[in-house]
Amino acid sequence: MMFKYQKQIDELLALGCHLPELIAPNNLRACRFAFSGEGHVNHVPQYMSNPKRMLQDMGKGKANMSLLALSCFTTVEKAEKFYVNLRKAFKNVQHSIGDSLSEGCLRDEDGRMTSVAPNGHFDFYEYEACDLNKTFQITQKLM
Amino acid sequence: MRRIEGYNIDYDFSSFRKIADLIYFEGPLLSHYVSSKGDDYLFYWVDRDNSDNRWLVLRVNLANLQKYIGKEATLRELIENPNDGYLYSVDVSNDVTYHNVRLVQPSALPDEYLPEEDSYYAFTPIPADDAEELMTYELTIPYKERTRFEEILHKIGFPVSALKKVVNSAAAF
Repeated sequence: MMFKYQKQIDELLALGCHLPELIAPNNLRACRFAFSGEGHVNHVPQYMSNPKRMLQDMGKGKANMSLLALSCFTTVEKAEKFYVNLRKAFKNVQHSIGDSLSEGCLRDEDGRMTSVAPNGHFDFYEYEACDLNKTFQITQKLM
Repeated sequence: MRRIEGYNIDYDFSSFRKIADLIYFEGPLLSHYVSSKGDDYLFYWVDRDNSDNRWLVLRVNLANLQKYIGKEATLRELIENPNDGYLYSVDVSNDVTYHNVRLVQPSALPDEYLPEEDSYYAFTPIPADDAEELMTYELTIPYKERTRFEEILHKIGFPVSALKKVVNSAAAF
């Protein structure tokens, strides 16, 4: 299956960037940060956002495939802990990553995920037909 | 975005090279860069609107940065005490163009641009691919240990005379 942002992935591959090792999510229950208000588009990778939160252009040696993935956590507790630490460092972080937590199920036909870090974080690379706006629901405000 | 008291200046950050993203979540939030002169800088994200992300850029010394990474100092302490006594505010557009560069005093920063008092490091740094060739190290040797240090350097074949030249020129500067 093609990834949702296959064209951009191919561009980064051409710059020498690599896709990390990916595995099937196997109906993993996951959560990710989202915006609760109207007028926000959720579940968009940073590289496809406008304005992108980037400091250098995706030139050779500066590319980072992670910018085309969606950050997720395996548990609400781990996501909340990460959010609290981010808020201590960046009081406006809700304007960039959202003010709420959304939860849903990641199916094999939705895409592929990286391995899970000790803090519960992983990157999720969506397949073409995936739309987490339809499967993820906002469950709580974080602020 | 909020207007910050300061002075508009021209400053070119294009020669800066990334050492590491110190805080990364769906893109950089706090990044360590080095200038072409070898000075260490932090890029600290503070705000965004529909067209730009805003960053504060400040020169730091490695010892203070290591204290922050080692959880001995807070990010707020770094931001409030930049090496130069001032910092830069810069807006970065969607096509990664830097503009609206302003010279700002830390005291002029709005509270929402400052980390919390207990902003100790709780993340994992992500080194840049070419970080190793850019990294510099600071080593402090107590004066009373200098002879022993020179003996160790001699044992491993390091030319102590070369080190003395560097130390002397640094002292003169």
